[in-house]
This record gives sequence, C-alpha cells and structure tokens, in this order.
Amino acid sequence: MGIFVIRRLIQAIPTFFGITFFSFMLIILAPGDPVSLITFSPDSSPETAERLRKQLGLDRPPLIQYVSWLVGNDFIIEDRHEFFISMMPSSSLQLLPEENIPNSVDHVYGSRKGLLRGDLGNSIGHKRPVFHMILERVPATLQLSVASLIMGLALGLPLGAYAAVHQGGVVDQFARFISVIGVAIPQFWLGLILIVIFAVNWDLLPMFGMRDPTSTGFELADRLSRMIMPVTVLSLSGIATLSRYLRSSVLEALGEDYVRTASAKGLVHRRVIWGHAVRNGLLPVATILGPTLGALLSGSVIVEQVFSWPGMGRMIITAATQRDYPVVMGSVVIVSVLFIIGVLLSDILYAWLDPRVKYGESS
Amino acid sequence: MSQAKPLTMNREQLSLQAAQDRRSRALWQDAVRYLLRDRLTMLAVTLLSFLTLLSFVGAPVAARLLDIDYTKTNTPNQFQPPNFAPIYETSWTSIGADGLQHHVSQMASVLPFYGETEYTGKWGGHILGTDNVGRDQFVRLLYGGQVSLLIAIITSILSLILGVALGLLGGYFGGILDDVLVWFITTVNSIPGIFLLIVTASLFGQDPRTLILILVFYGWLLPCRLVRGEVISLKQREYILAALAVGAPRLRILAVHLLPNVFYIAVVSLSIHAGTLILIEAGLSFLGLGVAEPQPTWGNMLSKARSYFTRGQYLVYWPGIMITMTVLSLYLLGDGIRDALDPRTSRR
Repeated sequence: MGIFVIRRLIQAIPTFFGITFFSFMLIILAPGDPVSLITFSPDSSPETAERLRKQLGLDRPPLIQYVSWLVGNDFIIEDRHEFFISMMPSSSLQLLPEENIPNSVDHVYGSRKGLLRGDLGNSIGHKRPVFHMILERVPATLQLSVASLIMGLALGLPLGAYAAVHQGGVVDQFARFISVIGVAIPQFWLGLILIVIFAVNWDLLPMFGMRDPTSTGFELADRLSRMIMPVTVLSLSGIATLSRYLRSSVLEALGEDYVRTASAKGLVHRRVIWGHAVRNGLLPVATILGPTLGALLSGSVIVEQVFSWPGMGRMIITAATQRDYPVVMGSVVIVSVLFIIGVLLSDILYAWLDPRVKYGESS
Repeated sequence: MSQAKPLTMNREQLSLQAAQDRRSRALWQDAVRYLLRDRLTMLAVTLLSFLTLLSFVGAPVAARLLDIDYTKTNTPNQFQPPNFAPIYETSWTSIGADGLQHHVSQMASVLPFYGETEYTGKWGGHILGTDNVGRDQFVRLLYGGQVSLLIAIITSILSLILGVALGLLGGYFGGILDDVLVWFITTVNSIPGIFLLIVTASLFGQDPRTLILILVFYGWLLPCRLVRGEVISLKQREYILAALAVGAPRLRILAVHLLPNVFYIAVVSLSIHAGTLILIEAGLSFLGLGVAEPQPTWGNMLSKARSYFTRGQYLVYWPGIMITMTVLSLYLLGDGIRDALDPRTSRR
C-alpha cells in the first residue's frame, strides 16, 4: 500500500511542473502586459512603465521569468541594488551613503522567494501576497464544492443503486431523466432561474452572497439558506454522473458469477442485492470521485459568478483580464493541487477498497 | 446494457431470429437501420434539424419580415415586455374635431375596433420583448443560435480530426511522440477545465474565431486519449500482424486497418462533444469572456441577466431553453449512435 501511494505521489510531480510551466507560458506569451494595465493613468510616463516592467522582471526572457517564479529571485542581489538606485531620484541618492543602499527591499513586489520555497509572489494590482488573497477565497469555494459533493453522494448513490436494482421502473426512469437533464442544463442558467423563482418572485431565499452583510456574527440559518440554491445547482451534475455511473456498475455486478452463486446458495434476495451486487458496484465509484471534484471546482467558478459567492472564481476572472499573472498562476496552482490531491485520494481509496488494482499496478 | 435473451422461444420467434441471423448487413448500414427505428434519437434529430433551420434560415427571414436590425440599439425602447399584435389605424376624417383626436386615440389603443379603426396589414411589437438596450429578443435569439451552433460544430470537427490523427500516430508508433502526448494530456487534464478556459479566453480576445481555436486546443485531448487507448489494444490483433506479414506499409495499416476501427469513437464523441462545447461556449459568453457583443449568442444574451431580474424576467428564460434543448438533443443523438454502433446492444 505504501509503495502504491509513493508511486502515485512521484507520478504527480512531473504533472505538477507541467501545469505550472504550461500555464506560465500561456500567460507570459499572451498579448498585453500587466504594466500597461496598472500604469494606465494620464501622468504615467514611459519611463515609469519601463522601470516597473524591469522591477517585475517582465523584461527578461519567458524561461528566466518562469525559473525565477519557481525558485525566486531574491538571491540576485546586484540587480535589485541597481533597481533601487534607478528608482531613487538622483538628488536623494547623493545624500545617501553608499552602504545605506539596502540590499533587501521587501516592499519591492518584484522580489519573491519562488514557489518551491512556498512563496506565490505578490499581486501586481493589489500589491498583496497572492497566498493571502487565495487563502481568503479558497474556503468559500471549498465550502460550495464539498457541500455539493456530499449532496451528490448522498442523493446520487441511493438513486443509482435503486435504479439499477429496479431496472425499468419509475425510479429508473426518473434517474435517467435526472442524469440527462443534469448534464444538459447550463448551470448558470439553472441558477438564474432558481433566483427568479425563489428569490425574486417568491421571496423565500436570499438572492446572493455568502452571508448577510448587515450582521456581524455567524448565523448558521442565514449561511445555510444562502447555500441552498448554489449547492442545488452544483450538486445536480454530481447527482447525474454518480447515479448514472453507479447504476451501470451495479448492473454489471448483477450479471457476475458471485451474485448467481450467492443466490444459488439460498441467500435472501435483499442480501444478494445490497450485500453483494451494490457493494461491489460501489467500488469503481471511488475512481470518479476525483474527477467529480474537479468538475465541481470548475462548476463552482460559474455558479459563484451567478450567486456573487466570494470564492476563487471571481478573483481569477478579474486577475486574468488585468494580466495580474502572479494571482492567476497562484490560483491555477492551488486549484490544480486541490484537484490532484482529490484524484490521488480517490485512487488510493480505490486501491484500498479493491486490492486487485494495487497488485495489477505493481506487476 | 445487454438484455438477457428469453431462454425459451416459440417456433415463430425462432424462425424470426434465424432470418435475422441470416441477413448480413454492413456495420454502418445496420447502425443507420437501428437509429431510424430508435424513436428518441429520431426525436433528437428532428429537434436539432428544426433548431438549425430556425437559426440559419429562420433568423434572416424573421429579421426581414419584422424589419428588425438585431444589432441596432435603441435604449428608449428597452425592456418592452413580449407583445405582438396587429397594428390598427384610425381614420380621423370621420371624427373631424381636432380636440377629440387625443381622446379617441387613447380609446383606440384600448379597443382596437373603436370607431373607424382599420387593420393595416402590419404587425408590430416584439414577440419576446426587448433587452436592456432595446434590441428585439426574438430575432437575437434566432441569430444567437447561428454562432452557438457553428462554434460547436466547427470546433468538434476540428478537434476530432486533430485528436484522431494524433491518437492514431501516438498509439501506433509509441516512442517519444506518445510519451509527450501522454504527458501533455495528463498535464492539461489536471487543471480543472474552466480555469484554463477562463485564463486563455480572457488573455486572447473575444472573437468567435479565436474562441474556436481555444476550444479546439482543449477539445482534441479527449478523443485523442480514447483513440490512443483503442489503437494500443487493436495493434496487438492478428489482422494487423497479418497485414504486416504480407508487407503492408505502416501508413496503409493506419489508414485502412486502424482508422475504420476507431472511427466509431469519433462519430460517437462528435455529437456529445458538440453538446459539451455549446455548454462551454455559453458559460464563457455568460462570464463575458466568450463572443463579445453586439454579436448575439445564447450565452452572452444572459450575461447581464442579473440586472434584468426586476424589469425583464422574460429575457432570462428563452436563451437557456434553447441551450438546454440543443445540448439535450446532441447528447441523446450521441447516446443513440453509441447504442447503434455497439454490437453488444440487443437488436430488436
């Protein structure tokens, strides 16, 4: 088991570097640069823009920029020394003794330790550490995604199992309907329709936001009532995929020899179904938990936009339009790491539940 | 799911079965025959054809008939509720006194047949109302289908060509090409899709052609992975070995022996892929990152929907209904094709 986990962890490393390299190049090579978007004010001179660009390291080749994003640039002392001098007006520089010109300028947001030393850099637009910005947003996104995953499991699995056991029945038809509708309805539109019905016309639920802006404390009822609509929208696709997947895997299990054997040895029908067929049918579901989480993370971006949910979605959209590449990179890295961990956990869960996978991998 | 055959058959069923077994048809012929009998798939095909016709033929015709320019904004005319009625004209000659005119015209608007009103032969108003800048929603809805459908169709065809070609090459030749391919696919698939799309779409402009390129860039991954997997298992088969043994060139093996056998993957995923692409395009346009105004798409017609909630709820419904109908039909069609091509499905 340990070897299996370690092997999967090692496999994730090149993927991780691939993600960072790929997205970094995408952002750096795209037309438009952050400096022109920040310094878009009437009194900014080309020199200011040039200095800022140099300070941020945007004048360097893309590959160097990537490496410095990865391992940091705080050890390249002479460069920042030079920046400091170039940034000071020449009159004040004469007053400053040579040894007082600092070697480390912490507020210079071009300086960073790099991803590998746990630093995602500072936002160009907000001049704040990206990590802090993400840390403020991730809980909201996770709250939505995890709640929807739980809802999807709690409703999708019983639905799928029941539909498979009573194939062709009313519940099966219903499950089929849900699984088709759940993937065909655009999530954002479903959200809009729910708002129109439940918030605008019937005034039952709060329209959007994560909490009541007028209250200061933590109100559970308020928080939960604001989660109802976004979680409903998000979990629908989860219910659809999970129920459909479980249905087909239970149907497959029902045709297996061990089910026939269980019936033949005189086991009660209910035990055969729930103890043998459904239990075995549940195994492969573990493998799609990771991808489902990924789909939920993706879906939450759009749902957040519909319900003004203060998650990662809105942040990444504004950051991308402003070319605030440290924020975009940071968000992509964090979300991908969450996703990779999710897939990894679901693979490990599957290997733990079904030892055949583990042995198959090592042979 | 394959259904269990009845264990006992009467003579009639047996002879029917035998007749069916005797008749040999090509796979594709068989599939088409199966599809034509599948009512749900036929419903989907009908709906799709109807929607396509509506967007490509119906849109210009409606614009001409109603005399509406779908890009022209007319802000004073904003948020007109759905209303479409014949226009009546009052002939003032019979009334005479000017002072009465105002009064009469007010009455005439309530009671169309009041006094000397006459049907002009023209219809006016807006069938689905007008949007926040006074454009006709109905004509925009029809034109919106053009962009959404075209993007979906072009993108899915392009990404399939690319995906199938690379999947064939990677799966058959293996080696470094395959390694790079696999690494690339794993990497890109490890980033939750919408994040990449948001980043790419917001970086590279809002033009339908750019959007197609972006979607193709991510779209070829799935068919490529499927085809590659299938080719790897197919190339172990005896018939490939036999072809090699008689000295067939590799290109011939790829084109004649492997391509037809993986082609069904392409056909099945074409339609499902197109459905997913319509959803993605709608989502991006909703976020304001897809196709830009004034070009209407079903997605960007909803992008300001949140400001319509009090004044124009009627604007929220139709674009979403169109998207859902199209995607639903494409998924059902894909399902139907898959069943038709899957030899394990029981044939009726």
